[in-house]
Order: sequence, then C-alpha cells, then structure tokens
Amino acid sequence: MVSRIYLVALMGRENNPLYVHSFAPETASTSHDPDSTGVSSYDDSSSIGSASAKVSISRDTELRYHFLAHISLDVFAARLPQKTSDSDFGLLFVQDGMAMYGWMTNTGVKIVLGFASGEIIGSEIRSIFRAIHFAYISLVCNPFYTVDERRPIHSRKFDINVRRIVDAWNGTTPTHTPAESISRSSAASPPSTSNISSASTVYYSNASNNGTIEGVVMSYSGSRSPSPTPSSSADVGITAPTSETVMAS
Amino acid sequence: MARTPRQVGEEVWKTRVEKVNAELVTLTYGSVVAQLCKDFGNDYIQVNEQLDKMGYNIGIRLIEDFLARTNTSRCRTFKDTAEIISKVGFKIFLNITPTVGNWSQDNKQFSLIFDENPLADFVELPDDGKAVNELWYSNILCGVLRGALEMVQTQVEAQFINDVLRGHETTEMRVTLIRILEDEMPVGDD
Repeated sequence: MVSRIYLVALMGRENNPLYVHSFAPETASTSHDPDSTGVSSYDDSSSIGSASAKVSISRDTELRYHFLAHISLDVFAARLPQKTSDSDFGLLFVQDGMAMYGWMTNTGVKIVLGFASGEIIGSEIRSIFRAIHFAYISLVCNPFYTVDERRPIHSRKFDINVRRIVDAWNGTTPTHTPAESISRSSAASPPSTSNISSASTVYYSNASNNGTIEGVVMSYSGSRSPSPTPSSSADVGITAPTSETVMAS
Repeated sequence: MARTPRQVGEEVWKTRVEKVNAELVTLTYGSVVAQLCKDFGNDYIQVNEQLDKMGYNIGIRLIEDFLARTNTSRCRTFKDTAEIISKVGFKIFLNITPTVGNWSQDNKQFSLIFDENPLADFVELPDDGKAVNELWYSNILCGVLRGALEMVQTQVEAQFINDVLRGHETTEMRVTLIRILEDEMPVGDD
C-alpha cells in the first residue's frame, strides 16, 4: 500500500513558513495561514482566522504538522554542510507515524512532505518535489504576485496546483477538476516520465538538451509539470522546458 | 508557385527568424502589465487602453519587418488577410497559430481563437474582483493588429471577447473590418 501524503509544507530561505497545508483525511480542505504578525516564527494563534477552513480541523493535528515542519528545518540545517549538489534530502526523520521527506531548492526554499505510514517511498518522490517546485516557480513568475520571501503564500492557483499534485499521488478524486488519469506505478518509474500525467498531449520537447526529456501540459489550470532533469537548464531556479519565440531583430 | 499561408509561415519561422527565450518575453510582458497596473492605480480600463496604444506603436513598425521577411503579396480579400495573420504573422513572431473562425455574415468580422498564449504563461490575475472583469491581459496584441493593418490600408477594430485568465473557456479576439483606406495625403502636406 502506497502511503498517502498528509502534509505539504514550504519554508523560505530564512526558515520562515510560507505554506503549510494538511491533507490528512479528517481535515477535508484546510489551509493554515502560518503568519499573521510578520514574525518569522510559527504562530498558531492565527489559525483562528484561517481563511479557507470549512471543516474545523483538530488543533492537535495542526499543531503537530507545524511542529513537524519545524523539526525538519533542524534536519536541513544539520545536513546541509555535508550535502552535495543534489536537492533531494530524502527521508528527514520519522515521528508520530509520519515520515518526512525534504527537498531544498537552490534558492533556499525548502519543501517538506509528510507521509502517513513509515513505508520507504523511493525515487518516485522526486517527481512530486519537482512538481511542487514547479508550482512554486509558476507562482513566482506571476507578474502580479509580489515576491516577498517573508510573506506566506496566499494564492488560489498555487493551492489548486498543490492539491492536484497531492490528489494525483494519493489517488483521490480531485475536488475541482475532472478526474485525471493517474499513472503511478509502484515499480520504480523511469526518471524520464513524470508520475502525474493528464489527458492532454505532450506540449513540446526540450530537444536541444536531451531527446528524452518531455514537458507535459496540465490541461486545467495551465500549469506544467517540469522536465525531469533540472540540471540541464541554465536558468536559476527555473526548470521549465524552454520553448522558442521570436523577437524580430 | 503558390504556397499556402501555413507553409509560408513554417518556412519563414524555420529559416529566416532568430529566436529568443520564451520566458524572457513572458516575464518582460508580465512586468510591463504589472507596472502599468501599478502606475494607473489599478484602473484596468486605462491599462487596456495603454496596452492598445503600445501595441499600435509596435504594429506600425512590425508590419515592415513582416513584409520584408515574408514577401507576401497583397491580400485580395479580408479572408486572405485573416489567414495570413494567423498562419504567418503570429507564427513568425510568437510561434503560435490561432484559429480563424466565427466569420460574420458579411465577412467583415472574424475571431482569432488562441489555444495557447505565451504572453500569459504563469499569469494569475490579481484577486481584487476588478481585474477579472476589466483587464484584458493580452490587449497589446489588439493594438499590434490594428497598427499593422492600418499600414496596409486596412482599418480594423480588434478587441478581446474571451480570455482564459478571466475564467472563460478560450481566449478569443474579435477583429472587425471598418474600411479599406484610400491613400491620403499626409496631414500638413500641401
């Protein structure tokens, strides 16, 4: 049985919380505003003013998830000196029946995933991290979004994207979008295909770098899942396959 | 040897056009629109107008480049114009080919339906309730068409009627032929 994602958390470069979202079953759709006072520490008194909570979630769960995300920061800091160039921090720790996996981008943004059971996930997790990273990049590239490293993320599109990624992994039917075909093989999937595919066709191929890399379009909100080898892109932090357009010279 | 507009577009795109990174264009255009919104205090109607004006200035210059690159001859009907715009024009400048459709009865109006819009990648309109009802994000394209066609004696009106950023199903621009311009003496010449 493949374990389900219960928690997605993003933390900024200064270890401030950007986004903490629980996907545990008893919490239908809740998002927590981790910061309402501008202080870059966890402050859960703001949970009372939480924006989208339709179902009242147990405070315990919420507190736990924040706590777990906080612990993972320590692990990042501890392991960072020995880390080579790879972004994947793998299994950070296991606590309370939740296995936490981490990923640090080269801009210092940390993505943490909390899985339900203690089952070791393997290399498929990289595709989720990349997809979330890509959702974050899409958010940052939005010209109307003020990129402020300290402020938590309040973007509906980002919410939808992350939810879709998690739903695709968990195998649950997405709430807003029609059910997509989910290709999640328990055998290790080859790194050149993304776990999350949609019904639409391949958008374009990044042929200039490597013939096997393909970008896949999500047909709903227009976001794309990233090409699987970010190292081939020269842009800082942007792993999207580049298409070509023209400026008349 | 007559070639279809599609073939002309593909061939010019492949051979005679220098390419630039798509994200650069997207992010540049995005910052232009965002800055305009800020400068005009979120008066999105004004922003639309400014984008149209900017597009017009681009269009009157772009047409020269277009004609030089493609050596197209004069279009005989408005339908030809529409085909050339979508298969050659958009192809060589943005590498997209919007579909031409929804012709009116008198053949003086058509729609360009964009299934992809590189200018609007990653964009999410601001959540202030106004933008999603008032701002046409890609309005510069309307100005470009208007300016370019005016330089070839075709006066048109172009405006967006649908935009996926606003939640519609497609992005659609309506182009209306106003009149064919006769050559006029420039103002001030005696």
